[in-house]
Amino acid sequence: MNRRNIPARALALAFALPALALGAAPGPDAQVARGMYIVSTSACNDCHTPWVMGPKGPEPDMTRALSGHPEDANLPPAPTLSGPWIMTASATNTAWAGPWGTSFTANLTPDPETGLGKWTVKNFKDTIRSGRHMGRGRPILPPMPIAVYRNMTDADLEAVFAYLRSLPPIRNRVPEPLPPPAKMAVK
Amino acid sequence: MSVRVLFALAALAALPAAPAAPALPPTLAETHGPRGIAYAPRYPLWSDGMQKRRWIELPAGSAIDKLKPDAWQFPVGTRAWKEFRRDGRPVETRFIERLADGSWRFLTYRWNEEGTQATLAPEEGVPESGIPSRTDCLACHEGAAVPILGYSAVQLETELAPALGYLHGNCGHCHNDGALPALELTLAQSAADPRAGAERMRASLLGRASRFRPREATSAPRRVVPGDPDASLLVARMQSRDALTRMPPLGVSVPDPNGIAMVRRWIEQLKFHPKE
Repeated sequence: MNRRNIPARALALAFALPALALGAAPGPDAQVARGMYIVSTSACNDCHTPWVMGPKGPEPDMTRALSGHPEDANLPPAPTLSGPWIMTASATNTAWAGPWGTSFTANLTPDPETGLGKWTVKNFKDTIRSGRHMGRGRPILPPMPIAVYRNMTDADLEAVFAYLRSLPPIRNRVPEPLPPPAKMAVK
Repeated sequence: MSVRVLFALAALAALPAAPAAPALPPTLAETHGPRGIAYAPRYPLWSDGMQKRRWIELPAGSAIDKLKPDAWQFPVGTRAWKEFRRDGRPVETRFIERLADGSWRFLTYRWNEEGTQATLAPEEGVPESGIPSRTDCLACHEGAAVPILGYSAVQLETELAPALGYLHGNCGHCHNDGALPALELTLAQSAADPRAGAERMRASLLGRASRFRPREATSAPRRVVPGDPDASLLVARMQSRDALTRMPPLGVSVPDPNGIAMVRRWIEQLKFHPKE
């Protein structure tokens, strides 16, 4: 997503919302606009877009919008914490370590091999509703706020998926999550 | 209260009430079962070595529509139970029922220590006892063409090679063309055309690169390397004790030694008989 496009998209959204309020089925453009609105107000870019250090401090690198944890980041193991401090995050804000292990944010762009390109809308909705990868696999790990997003309506989740499908695909193979250090020896 | 609010309330009151969800039977006894036909699938799901018994009951005068061998249609009112025992003691009984609107509901009942009564488990399940949440029931049962997984033409009437049957019964409810098309991994078998089912499975496994990359892998591992089970990711994920890696990802915490041995033997003989 290019931020310079936001005013034009917001205008499209302004036209789309009354149709939604009246209960009319949104057209494709209105659905994408609705999805963009939800994504931009639900903090998706906070974790799924890698952050870089800009002149004013850390900011999301929108050239890699929503492409997840960069595969070339080569992070060392997360530091071991104790006491009340239990969570760390990488400088990109895309890798998070805590009692669950280390999680890496997913590539949400429609790249067919490394993103959501081959997912169905049902796979996406099942993931958010169940908190499991593709609705059937391993648990989605913290800090992904599944408990919040699972309360979205079907129409909102479908709009989010429609918007994600409209993004330029970015090839970025996000690594699998790591178990906590105590379980790293377990294979 | 303003006139506008009154109008809004009146409009709401005029809406037809949504049909109330049927009450959930609070005890297993109130599901009026287990009863009906006792059955055993040929290719059962491994459940950490627990012993299982199964029953299915159709409403009087009704029948299963078997026109599509891979998607039997069960009549409204169909009910099925599966009992889990550990060391001879009942632990849990799961219950599936087809409701009047055609949808299915999935409930599970936890037995008391004495084994005298089973009560409805909470919606979120009892993870420490291995009792699934209702969402997790859907994860497996809604992935297949029909939610009753063990009572089907493949499971009751189809002769398959042991490893193929094992993969169907343990993996095929998710790994099929309908549930997870993005993975392009079909482990479900077909009663309508067993040869085609087996061929689809081979095509999606043999020599195919996996999307899943183990943390130590530097290149894409192969799902199955004919003749080499140790290099086959299928086996590695079945053998894994890491909860983020192992397959199946739910309902299992202890790998199945017999199932793994069966799949390993199949991969070994593929070196000499790649069409089997």
